[in-house]
Amino acid sequence: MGKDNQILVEITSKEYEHGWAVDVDTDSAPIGLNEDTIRFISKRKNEPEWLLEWRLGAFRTWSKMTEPKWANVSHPPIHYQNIIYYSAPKQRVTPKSLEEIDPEMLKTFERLGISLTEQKRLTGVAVDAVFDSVSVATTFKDKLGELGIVFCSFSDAVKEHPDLIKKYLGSVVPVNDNYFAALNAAVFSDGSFCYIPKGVRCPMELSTYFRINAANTGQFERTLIVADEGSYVSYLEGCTAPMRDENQLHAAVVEIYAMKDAEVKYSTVQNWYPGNKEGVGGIYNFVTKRGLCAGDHSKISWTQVETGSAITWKYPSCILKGDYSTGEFYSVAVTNNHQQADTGSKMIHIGKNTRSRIVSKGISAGKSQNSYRGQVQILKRATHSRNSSQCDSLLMGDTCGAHTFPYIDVENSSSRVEHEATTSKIGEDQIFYCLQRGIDEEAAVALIVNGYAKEVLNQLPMEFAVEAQKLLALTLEGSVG
Amino acid sequence: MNTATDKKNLLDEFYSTFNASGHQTNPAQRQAMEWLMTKGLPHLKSEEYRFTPIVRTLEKVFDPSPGAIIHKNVPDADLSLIPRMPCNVIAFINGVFSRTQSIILDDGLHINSSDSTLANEDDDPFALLNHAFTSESIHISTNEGIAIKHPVAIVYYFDTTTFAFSNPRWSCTVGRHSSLTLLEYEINAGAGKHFNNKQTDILVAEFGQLEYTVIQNGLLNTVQINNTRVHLASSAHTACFTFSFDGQLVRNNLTLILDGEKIDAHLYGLYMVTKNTLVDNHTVVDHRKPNSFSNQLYKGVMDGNSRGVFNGKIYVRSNAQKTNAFQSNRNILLGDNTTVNTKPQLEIWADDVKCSHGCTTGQLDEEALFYLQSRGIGKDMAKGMLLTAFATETVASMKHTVIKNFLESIISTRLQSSN
Repeated sequence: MGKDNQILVEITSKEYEHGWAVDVDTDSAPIGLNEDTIRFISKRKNEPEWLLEWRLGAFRTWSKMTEPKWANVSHPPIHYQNIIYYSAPKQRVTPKSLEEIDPEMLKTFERLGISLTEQKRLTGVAVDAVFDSVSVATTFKDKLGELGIVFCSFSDAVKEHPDLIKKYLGSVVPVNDNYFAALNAAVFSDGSFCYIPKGVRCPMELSTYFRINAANTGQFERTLIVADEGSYVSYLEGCTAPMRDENQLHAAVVEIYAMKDAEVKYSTVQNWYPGNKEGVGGIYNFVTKRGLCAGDHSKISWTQVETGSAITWKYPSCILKGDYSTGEFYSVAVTNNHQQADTGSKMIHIGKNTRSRIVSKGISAGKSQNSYRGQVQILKRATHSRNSSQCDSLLMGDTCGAHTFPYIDVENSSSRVEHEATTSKIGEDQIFYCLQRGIDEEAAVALIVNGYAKEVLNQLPMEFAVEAQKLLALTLEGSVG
Repeated sequence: MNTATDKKNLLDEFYSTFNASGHQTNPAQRQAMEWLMTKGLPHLKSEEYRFTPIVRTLEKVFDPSPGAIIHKNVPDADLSLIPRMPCNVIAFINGVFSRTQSIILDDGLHINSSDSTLANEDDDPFALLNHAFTSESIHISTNEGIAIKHPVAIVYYFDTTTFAFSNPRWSCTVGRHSSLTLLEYEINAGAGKHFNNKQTDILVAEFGQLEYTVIQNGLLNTVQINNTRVHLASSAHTACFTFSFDGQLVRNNLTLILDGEKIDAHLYGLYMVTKNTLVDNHTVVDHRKPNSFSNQLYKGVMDGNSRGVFNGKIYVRSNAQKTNAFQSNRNILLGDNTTVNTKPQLEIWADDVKCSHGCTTGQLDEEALFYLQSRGIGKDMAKGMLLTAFATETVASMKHTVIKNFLESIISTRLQSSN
């Protein structure tokens, strides 16, 4: 027991390694939220009239909604009027090249290990970096342009591809979808837009990196990915934030639209600041992610590694509308100290012969609460559909909790649905087996946890898999209960 | 405020029926009714009643002004479900306990009237409703260290031609080192509708053994709500079987509280329904102390326009280490208009546990069907065999062989007739 305690103390006292802030002059909206704030944001971004109207409509919808209370998390009330809804690094002119970008900011991304300078061509990842509210730089833009791929910040897309934005914005996550999606629609600041034309296989991973830097701000980015017929893209998302005592709100929306035969793979490594070990501070991560398999034989795959945030509230979902379409969800959610996670997936089967698969691995340690909440719905016309879900929980210590809330609704007799969930701890026999072979306890736990999460980690692109494994080791190594 | 409509609010109807009844002078019952009025009835947005339109169904069935219910003498044979099986009988005639119709065969078994249980403000709305309207609470108890030879049959006998609003309430204590078999069922002699809103509290003391079987075979225009709570003390052993065959709407709330160590708890359920029947099973297994075992197996075979709802909760509290808790829900959908809504829910705060749940929804295995057909068995018969094998797994571990054989024969008859 003594050793266990020692290890537990060690691990819980580990610091958040991305917890620094840089001084960058920012241009912020006045604190609070009303129609003027929205006009301010829209004006700053030189948005067309229709987008402003769309935002205002969303704001009015949001004002009538109430915050959802059903998630298995508890937090003090959020004061929506105490948040700065727009904060942009101050720049005199729009940067044409990287030389014009604030060096402080470039340093920030260097520290995060994100290369904006295209030196590391070998990594083969195109990055769109979002700092506080604004997209800073997008790399490899020209190379992608040759193939007709559009990959740029949301604000650029509004200017350069208004037709696409008009057509697909809100088509998967409507404004009135939920409280946080409506809030995002009203105040979203920037994000990434990606369009893959017909029959194009994107030759490199596309990546967005989000960082909240300024204090008191909320980050509300919006990502829209449109995959035209027969195209393929793999998309990565990463996030970090400085350590601050107050809770910051992050309410993002990700929409994916997949047409006939298209395939989109979306991977997230979420590492927002989780708060300190007493549970002070940290990000509230309330995200709406949804993909629509609109065409036949389309496929959307979500992979997520969730290690950060004080509270995570996130259900990447797939609407399988096209016949023979496929949805996948792979998740590892790790909570430690006072973190709370309520995450899972929704698979809505509408088309015939649709398939979905859910693999969710939860790991709870410290005083954290980790919930899986999922829904598999097979509508009456979705005949011969198939779903298999597996959600496993691993508990470390007797002060944390693991919860499973799967909803399974089947409305026809030709579909098959399987759901399985288990909860256990790392077996003493497994540890003993490793010890016997000369592997010490720390290494054994790392080995077992990695093996436990392997099914999900295998789904990540190489660059992220390494980062994810490091994150897992950092959060959990040695906390054997 | 609601504008005046022809459709009366169900809650108001309960309230006026209550005020016209003899229960309104009882302060405890009045309190329960007041709590219910504040709380309101569940609607489809209530998490626990998401798929069960209980109020809508009740509005159609409930009749606040039934004709005078006649308590005639029912021949003993009419109260039995399984022929030639001697039973102790607790009879509720049209929802009211009848002392004269009840039979005690065994020594060491006692039946008393008790009013000790009090309503709790947080109770389920229908538990409050039962409190407000129940006439008498019956307490069944056994001596310590005794095996009660004959099963205790709890019979709800209905012979009305109009409507019966029935709120039976009974409790049961199985003494230390004692064993008891309970069998609960309905007999419908009249063609009238009824709403049977039952409340049961069972306590199984240390080393006690209970086998509790519920057979739900009400008529198509009946609504049943069963609130059952079972409290288990250390080393108790219990098996609860719930079989739902008919009825318009059946809602079973079965809660097991494992408040001791080394408890062995088994829950089995089978819903085999057709037409417009809706069966909703909500189970809660609450592990509060270490070293206990629980296992749940619920199966559904659905045809017609039926709907099966299953919500199984397992709680493992933080000091309930070394708990093993398992749950499985399997459904076969035979008709294209059938629906299954299942939500197996695990909530675990202890780490040294083994818990799992599984749930499947699908059809008969094509290959198994082909295997039987290839050996000269007709398709319908092969289907019947496979379905019978699927369904009878829920009775396999029943110890009382007479009840077990009876259920097996009901299951196979029904499955053959459905083909």
